[in-house]
Order: sequence, then C-alpha cells, then structure tokens
Amino acid sequence: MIASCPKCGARYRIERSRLRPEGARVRCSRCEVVFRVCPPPQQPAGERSEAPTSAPPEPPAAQQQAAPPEVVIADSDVALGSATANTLVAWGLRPIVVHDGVDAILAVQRTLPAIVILDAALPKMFGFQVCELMKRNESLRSIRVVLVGAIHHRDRYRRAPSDLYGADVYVERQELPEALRPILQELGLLAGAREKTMPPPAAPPPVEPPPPPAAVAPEGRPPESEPAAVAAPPEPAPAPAQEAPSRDDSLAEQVAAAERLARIIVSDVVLYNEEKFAAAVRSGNVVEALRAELQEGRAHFQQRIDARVRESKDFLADELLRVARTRGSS
Amino acid sequence: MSFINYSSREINCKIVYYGPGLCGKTTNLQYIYSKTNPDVKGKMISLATETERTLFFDFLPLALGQIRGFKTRFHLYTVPGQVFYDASRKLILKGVDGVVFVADSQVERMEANLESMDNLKTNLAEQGYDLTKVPLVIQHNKRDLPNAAPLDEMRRMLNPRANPDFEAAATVGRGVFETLKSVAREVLRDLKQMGR
Repeated sequence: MIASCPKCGARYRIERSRLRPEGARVRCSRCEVVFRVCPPPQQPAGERSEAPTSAPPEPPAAQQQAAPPEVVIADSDVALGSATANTLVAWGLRPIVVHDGVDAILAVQRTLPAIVILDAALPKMFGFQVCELMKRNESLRSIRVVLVGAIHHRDRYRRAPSDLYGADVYVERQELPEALRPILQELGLLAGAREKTMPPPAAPPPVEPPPPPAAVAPEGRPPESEPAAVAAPPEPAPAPAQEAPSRDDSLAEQVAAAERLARIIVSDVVLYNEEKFAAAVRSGNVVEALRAELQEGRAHFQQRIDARVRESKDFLADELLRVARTRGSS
Repeated sequence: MSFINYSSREINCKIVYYGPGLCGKTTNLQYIYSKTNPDVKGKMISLATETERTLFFDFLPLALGQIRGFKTRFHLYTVPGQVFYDASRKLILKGVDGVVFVADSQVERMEANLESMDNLKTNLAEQGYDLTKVPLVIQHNKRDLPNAAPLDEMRRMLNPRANPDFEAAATVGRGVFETLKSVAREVLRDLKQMGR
C-alpha cells in the first residue's frame, strides 16, 4: 500500500503484511515527521474480527504493558481542558491538552493520537475546521474525532456526526467528561474495555467526490497497482428537447466552455509537471505519460461538462496533444 | 466572519490568498512569514494531501491598532490553485474576512486567472458572500517576467470594480507587504463598519 506524509506529501510504499491492525508509526525521510499508517479496512466486515496479517497478534497482556494511548484535547477553556485531562489520566490514558486550533493541528501531526477531542469553537482555527482538514488528509483521516459543541445550539447541532464536518462522534460540553467513557470504551482505549470497534471513520466532507488516487509514485517507488481506468459516472437522462436553433447555440457554447476548461486543466497539469511533460514530448507519448496526472482533471471535467458534450471527443487528450505540438515545434 | 476571543481580547480575522496554480500565493506567504517579527507571528502550518497543499499561519500586527480595546490577529491562508482542487478551496474560504487575489501576469495564464476569479465568486456565493462586498485586493504578480501582459489589460479583465490592486514580484518581495497592508486595512474598515 502507499502512504503519504501528512506534512510534505512524500509517498512511501509500505508492505501491508508488516502492519498490525492498529497501524504503525513511520518517520518521513524527507521532513522527519512521524506519522501513523493504518491498514485499510477489511472488505467483509464482521466476518473476521482480526486482520489476517503475517505478524502474530500481540497477546492482551503485552498490549497492556504498552504506553498508554495518547489523546489530544483541544479546548479553549483552560479549566475544562484540565478537568477532562485529569479524568483521562485517571482512566489510564495520556492526554495532551492544547487551547487553540493551530496547536491542535500541530499536536495531531506530531503525536498521531488515538483520538482527538475538539472543542468546536477553538480560537485561531475552529475545531470543525481542524476536523475537516484532518478528514481530508489521508494520513490523519483514521484518527477518531470527537467534536464538542455548545449546549445552546442543541437543535442546530443535533445531526449525524458524519454530516457534521466529518467528525466520528459528537458530544455537548455539559456532557464532558463522562460522555467520553463509552466512546473510549468502544475504541478499546479504556482498561477492561470490550473489544468492540466503532463505526468506520466518516468519509471526508461530501463537498465533491475525492480525487482518484495518484497512480504514479515518485521515482523508485512504483505504484502498487495499475491505475484504474476512469470510470464514467452514470449518465444523466438527456435533457428534454428544446427548440432546434437554441439547442445548437447552446451546444456550441457548451463545447466552447469544455474547450476552455480543458485548456485550463491541461495548463495546470503541464505547469506542475514541467519536466515530465518535456520528457514525454521528446519521446512522443504525452497522453500516456501524463495519464495519472490528468485523472484528477478528468474527474473535475466530468463534473462540470455535460455528458453529451464530453462524448463528442476527448477534450483533455486533444488539448494536451495540441500543447505538446506547440512545444515540440518551438 | 471574524472570531472574537474575549479572554485574550483579540479579534481574529481570516485572509485567504486565492488565485490560479503557481501564481505565487505560497511565495507571498513565505515572504511575509520570513520578514515578520518572530514575537508576533504564530507557526506556519503546511497540510498536504497526496498532491495538494495548504499553508496557514497567523500573526498579530501590533501597529494596526485596536478596535474597541481588542487587538486584531490576522490568519493568512493559501488555497490549492489547480482548477480541480475546488473542494479544498471551498473549505478554506469558510469564514473568510478578506481575500487577496493573486493573478499571474503571464499572458498564457490569463484564462486561468479568469477561471480562478469566477471560481472565487461562485465559492463565496455558495457561502452567502458577495464578491463585491468582501474586502478584496488584487495583486498582479510576476510583473518582472518578460511575457507579462499589460497592466491595463489585466485590470480590465480582473478588476472591473477598481478594487485596490498592486503590481508585484513576490519572489523578491516587491508588492507583497503593500498588498497585505491594503487587505488588512480593508478588513479593519469592514469590521468597524459592522460594529457601528
């Protein structure tokens, strides 16, 4: 599997068989940040309670000897933060208390805790922003987030946690710290807790579909598998027929818009991959060489351009070839 | 939507550097960060996904005075510029108080500039903001490059409402602080008007 550094984005190939179910800590050789890599969830959930790894599972006694799990508590209220931390210490955990959103992100990046308890209204950076950023980052996404909101907005915040900025669990301030006990128990972080797992982490905020995984790894780190072909989303039903002249005009406008968007996407791809593009122009295989780099652009293109227009030709490949011809002739 | 911290008596304002890919947003932030007094700035945070990156840092300019006894702390963000990272841009724009639009002066990036400006307008509107009312400063960056478009033409395309704008070469710091001071001034003016 491929893991990427949450700080600098460097990507590493990790042997899945060497990962324990709870993950492993990895130090980035480029920026030296330590981050946790967790194995991807097993497909048939519920059939097997433990991941089939080659490493033998640790006996429960050995797990209890390990250092207590770290919990980041980010609370703007110093007194409440300390009170929560004292309770967690009594429960056998190791809390790290911070009081603003910036320190929260730094603490999460540095320690990769088992769980983060985030006050929604943190200074410097709101707790829900911290949560959203974590859930958009593939190395921090697996860390469970408890979002703590105010009592005054009971109605407004009473929604499913996964709908609320991607947090895994939501509690109200008045319920702290006792409301954390069942959550930590379910995660297996409290002594004597039942081995039970929480629901899988929430998906990142549903703003738009996540970009497909980059298929090309840095030099020397080949991708684990072949990039998947871009699957066309279900085509929407064709629009009802309009008057012929206006439909022609509209189609021409849409084609022009598609060509414009293709120029912008290709311009971005070429700018961010200058060396690779130049090498591909020399070897005459730009479309194949930049296939992975174009994938995110294709996803965006599909979202914005009507299927009828997209079917007429491959706008992105055509534009890439046009730019390559221009560069090749200059 | 500035955030007021009553315990530290600070008003926190969020300024987002927006613009197309590789236009110089990060260069602006890095230059400001390198030239800001360490005593008044916070840490610079870089959050990366596999292919995109967000930079963030905060600082507290002491010389800009106070509003009703509250100091003002500015948080500066950049967005990923490539057209296909729209989800990240929407996320970072939440709660924005002021925008610096960094335009790439190179002729071949004019279309990307226009697309990014349209995208800014759309993403602000989605959050209930009107681009014509949000404090906005435009920076025409990369003026030192030989293929820079004429300034008049850039203004006509990107700044029809005559917002404050500046020529810049962010790699050498030209125009960087002028832009920042201008957007800070606009944000503070906006805050004072809201307080009345």
